[in-house]
Amino acid sequence: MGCTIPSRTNHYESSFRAVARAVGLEFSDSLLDKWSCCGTTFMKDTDFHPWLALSAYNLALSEGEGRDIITLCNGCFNSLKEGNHILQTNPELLERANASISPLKYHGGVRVEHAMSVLYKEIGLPRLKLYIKKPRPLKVAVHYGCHFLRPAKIMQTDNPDDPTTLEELAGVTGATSVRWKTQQDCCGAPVLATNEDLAIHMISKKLVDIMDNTDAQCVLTSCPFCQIQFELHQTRIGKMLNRKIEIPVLFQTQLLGLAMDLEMEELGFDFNLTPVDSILEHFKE
Amino acid sequence: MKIDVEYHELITNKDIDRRFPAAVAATAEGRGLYQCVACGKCSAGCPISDALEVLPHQIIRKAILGLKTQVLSCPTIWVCATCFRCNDRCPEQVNPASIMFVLKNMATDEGIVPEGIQTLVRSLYANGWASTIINYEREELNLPEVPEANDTIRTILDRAGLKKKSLLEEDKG
Repeated sequence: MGCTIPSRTNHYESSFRAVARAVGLEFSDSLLDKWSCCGTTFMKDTDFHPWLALSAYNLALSEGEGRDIITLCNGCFNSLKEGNHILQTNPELLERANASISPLKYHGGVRVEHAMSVLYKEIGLPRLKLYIKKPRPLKVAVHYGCHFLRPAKIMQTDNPDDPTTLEELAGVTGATSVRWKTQQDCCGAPVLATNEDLAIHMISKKLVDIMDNTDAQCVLTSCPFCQIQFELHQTRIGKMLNRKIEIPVLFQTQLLGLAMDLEMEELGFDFNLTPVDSILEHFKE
Repeated sequence: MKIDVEYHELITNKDIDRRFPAAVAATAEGRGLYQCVACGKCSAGCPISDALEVLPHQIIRKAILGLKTQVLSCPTIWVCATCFRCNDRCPEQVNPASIMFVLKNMATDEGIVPEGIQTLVRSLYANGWASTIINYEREELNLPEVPEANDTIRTILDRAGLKKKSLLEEDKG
């Protein structure tokens, strides 16, 4: 669940729910009133043990229900999966974290997966293809977000230097992914809290690269923080560089939803901060 | 003819804290410290190396030398984007990004924490969330309501020994 989705990108969640329902992917909402923030980098940065206790808390809740965790957010994914790895491999730290969360207790039995990996690996491309009603040959620039891929030994999603998961997911809708040099560079979101100028410098390099060196019609993300970073600063960067910086940014699930011809209301395009009409046009029959 | 030579400041004994590298290497995430061979691969692949005065491999080297004050007051550790590319590429399993986490924890102990980070911790401590839940938007999208506060989290953070002085108090000195 995370914080960034219910606070700033609710349309990511609603478009994912719509896609999941369409393809028959079931999950439970029974812990919706108990989850907490994962603590992500800001808590791990400053205070390791409370950060690990938060991971243990969320993992123990899930274990109590006999379920694994699926998350839409790269921050939660990285934080919970790294936390899980530490708790599963370090009994002393597990005991210490459990002391903080009692009467809950984590035993190490939960798997943490990113929603995009679940669509890719568990549902699979052939099954996803069955639901595509409006394939469109769009050109898209896919952005993974570092924490989906790295550290690779722990995240175990894809090859971090040459990943294909998101390109293949986009490909199901008929889209072609463009190659761009700065694709695997960080969007700068984690730096926003400590150095805004640097964070904007980081995303401007990527936006300029996409606009100047590719013929992409939109950017596709699958992390709420990357999405915000790509959308929010376009006008400001345009003013800084004295040129027009404007490209639609969609969630991967929004494009899947369009191609599956799902309810527009659920896909939540009213909440995108960049104009997306140029993309929606392709799906008006 | 005058030749300009750039002199680096000399390191003297008073700059060195010999316990510092051992303390870093004693943590779960810092144990790779001494394995560094200074190949510079971490800095070569760092997406923000163009903006850094002190590069990741230099931070690691300074930490090994025991230059505690220099390392803990260096902005590099706080602008590390935690993209983990250096962890993946390090040929000696030093895990530089993980060591940055250890160093930031130690800086926090010394009361050095950026304001932006404090704001997030304060929100987490108050509500159990780092940012404000917007339920009216969720209602518009027919999404289930999420509680805006979770008091359990405060208890967990307290029990885990949250560094309140550095993280919650306005005047951190």
